[in-house]
Amino acid sequence: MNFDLSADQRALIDTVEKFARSTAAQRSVTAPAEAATEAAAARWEQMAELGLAGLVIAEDDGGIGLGAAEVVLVSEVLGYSLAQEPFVTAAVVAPKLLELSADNSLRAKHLPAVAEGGMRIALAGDEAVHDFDLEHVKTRVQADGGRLLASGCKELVIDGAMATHFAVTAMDQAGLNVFLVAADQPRVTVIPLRGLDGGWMARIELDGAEVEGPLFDPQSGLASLECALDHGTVAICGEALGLMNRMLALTAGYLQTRHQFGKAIGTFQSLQHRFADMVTAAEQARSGTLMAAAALANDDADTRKANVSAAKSLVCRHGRAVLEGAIQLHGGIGITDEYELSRYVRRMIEIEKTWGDTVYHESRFARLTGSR
Amino acid sequence: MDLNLSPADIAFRDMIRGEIASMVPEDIKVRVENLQHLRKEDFLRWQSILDERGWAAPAWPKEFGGPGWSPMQRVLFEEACFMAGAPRQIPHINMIGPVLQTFGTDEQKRRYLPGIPTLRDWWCQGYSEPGSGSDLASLRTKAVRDGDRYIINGQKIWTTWAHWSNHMFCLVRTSDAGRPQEGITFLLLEMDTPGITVRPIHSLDGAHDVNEVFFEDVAVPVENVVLGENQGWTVAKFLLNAERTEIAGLGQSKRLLHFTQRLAERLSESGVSPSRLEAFRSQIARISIDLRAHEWTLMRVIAAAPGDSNAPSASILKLCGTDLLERLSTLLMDMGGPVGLTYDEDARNGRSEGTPPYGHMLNGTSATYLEFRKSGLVGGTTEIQKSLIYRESVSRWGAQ
Repeated sequence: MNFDLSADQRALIDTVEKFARSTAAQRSVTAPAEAATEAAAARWEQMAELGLAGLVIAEDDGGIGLGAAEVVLVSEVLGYSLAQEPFVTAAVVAPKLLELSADNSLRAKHLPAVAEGGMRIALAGDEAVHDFDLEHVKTRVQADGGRLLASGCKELVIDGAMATHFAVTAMDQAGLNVFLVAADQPRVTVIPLRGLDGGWMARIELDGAEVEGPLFDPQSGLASLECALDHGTVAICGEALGLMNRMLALTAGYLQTRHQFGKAIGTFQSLQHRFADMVTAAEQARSGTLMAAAALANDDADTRKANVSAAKSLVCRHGRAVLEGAIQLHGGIGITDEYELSRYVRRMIEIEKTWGDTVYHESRFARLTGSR
Repeated sequence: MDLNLSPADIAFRDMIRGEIASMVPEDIKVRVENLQHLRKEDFLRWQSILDERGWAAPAWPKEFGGPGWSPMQRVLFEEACFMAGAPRQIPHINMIGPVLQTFGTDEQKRRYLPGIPTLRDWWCQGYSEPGSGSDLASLRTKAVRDGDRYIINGQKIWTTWAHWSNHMFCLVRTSDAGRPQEGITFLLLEMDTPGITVRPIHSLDGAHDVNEVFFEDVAVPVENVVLGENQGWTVAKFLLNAERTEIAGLGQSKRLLHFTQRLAERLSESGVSPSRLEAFRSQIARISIDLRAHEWTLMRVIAAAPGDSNAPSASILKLCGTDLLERLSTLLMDMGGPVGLTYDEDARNGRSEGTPPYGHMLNGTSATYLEFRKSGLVGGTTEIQKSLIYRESVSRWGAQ
């Protein structure tokens, strides 16, 4: 076990950092849906040229075949510069779904397109807006002649406004499964939803839309979906580490430059201790995320799930501690939307609400480890 | 970055778990798992069992008779000890041992090292004084040179196991010139030297672990100085670093967590209401999660090269370890409920052979809470650690 970066990992980070820095200013949080998603799609093309779209896809399928550690490293850099979309959905969750697919022809057909960035698949799983129940699915897929058609409504589809395809969870005769749906067909309606951090997600209405699939054997639909989401969850935990680092950097700078009572406010012990709490929180979130990244390779699904839930709950809880500390230590500027911190606070809360919050993951952890 | 244990570490883990599990005497294991205080004889017996395998001083290199384990192997050893219900490691073995190995004269090494692993020589640490706690460098116990010896006058306090020790390593003031740190000397002495008086201090839970130690014209030969007169602060800082993995308190936290899980089973069997159980179980889940993160923080610290500024600071380990011990011991008292009204302190502290009215397992619920109020005080208070974390981290973050 070692936590030092290899030369290749260092080079990967440098490349992504350079890209993220150079494009950070292009991301508008006020642009209307169409302009914003077009700009995001253009950025994704550039990211794909750097190899990020195929980061975890096997070389045989057109990717570069890296693992969970690299996903965390890349996500962290993207988080630090708020350049995340749609890395986690299109380059982590979607490839994992295809890789786990029982249908080899789907995998062979789509993975290369995902790896070169032209195919951006968003997971359309949520139907409930009050909890994170993956099995709460009313969308149905039925055979119609030689075709399979899906009908239903998907809420809060992350990166949904810029997706070319959706991985839709739906019930067929055999139970829960996942199907691929092209976005550009008449029976699919994509309604953009403004995200808390200014990006665009979507509600997706399917009215007899044509689908490909199913991806999985009937008995393994849920397990495969959970596995792909665990990979995505670790990736957004990595992104959260980047957000926390940026919030720490902003706060440390402010403590050393802001003067009150004739001295830098960082000389006051109560403020020093609040900052130490933030640093400690961020380190625990990092430890949890690295633990979960290691657990993704574990063959035992319950061990993997328990560690991913531990990590996500740590990230949600400690991410909130960091953002609240950052706001408090910044004083009035901390509650000013125009100041950079606002974007990080908002994105951190989005991450809390993506694929399970503290309550959801602590309770999943307890179930899996027998504490409940 | 490689997040997996190496095959060699996995093989070591499997080996050491199996071995340790078969080595712990049943009576000691029962006392450990019931959170009873061990007797001196228990520690002596366990250390001699370990010594037969060459494992009594896990942090020592081979050249001094230790196993020569890597930091990771030490963590795996400690985990195996926890899982098997073995006593916790005696901290001083990994403190005075490395100090003498690094700074000691050949004569000091020859004379003192052999008795340490078996506890034939039991060492206590004379650091804190009534007027010098967090501000250790202000210490005033005075050693005045008189020919080939020092004459010591003063007082140490909170000295753990001074009443079981035949040796002490201590910090004494040999000069008032310059900064307070510059006049301190690291000194070895024998506890039966005339002029030393040890008086017990009973902790909140009634246990006798710590003491006051008084020095009245105590004569100590000058060859008992380690490193050199007025060089003591260097030794003290080295020693702090040597105990990095121990301040994490991982084994103790795992022990308490395991206890709360057993207690939850017991409450469930006794028909405690589901809502009360649920409140406890959600706390157990959160603490288990935090403990897993803490374990990974420890691994990040020990895997880092010395001075690596990207590794978490040892103060974070101490802070998180303290937080876990405080929360676990609080939860344990809460779970105990009304049974925590009674306390047979002689039975818990090994001063009687009797069985408490509700059994050993339940006897210590409130007492454990009282006992672990110390965890935010020992080895640098929580507030001192936070100030250190600020100092170490603010420039790193501010520089970005």
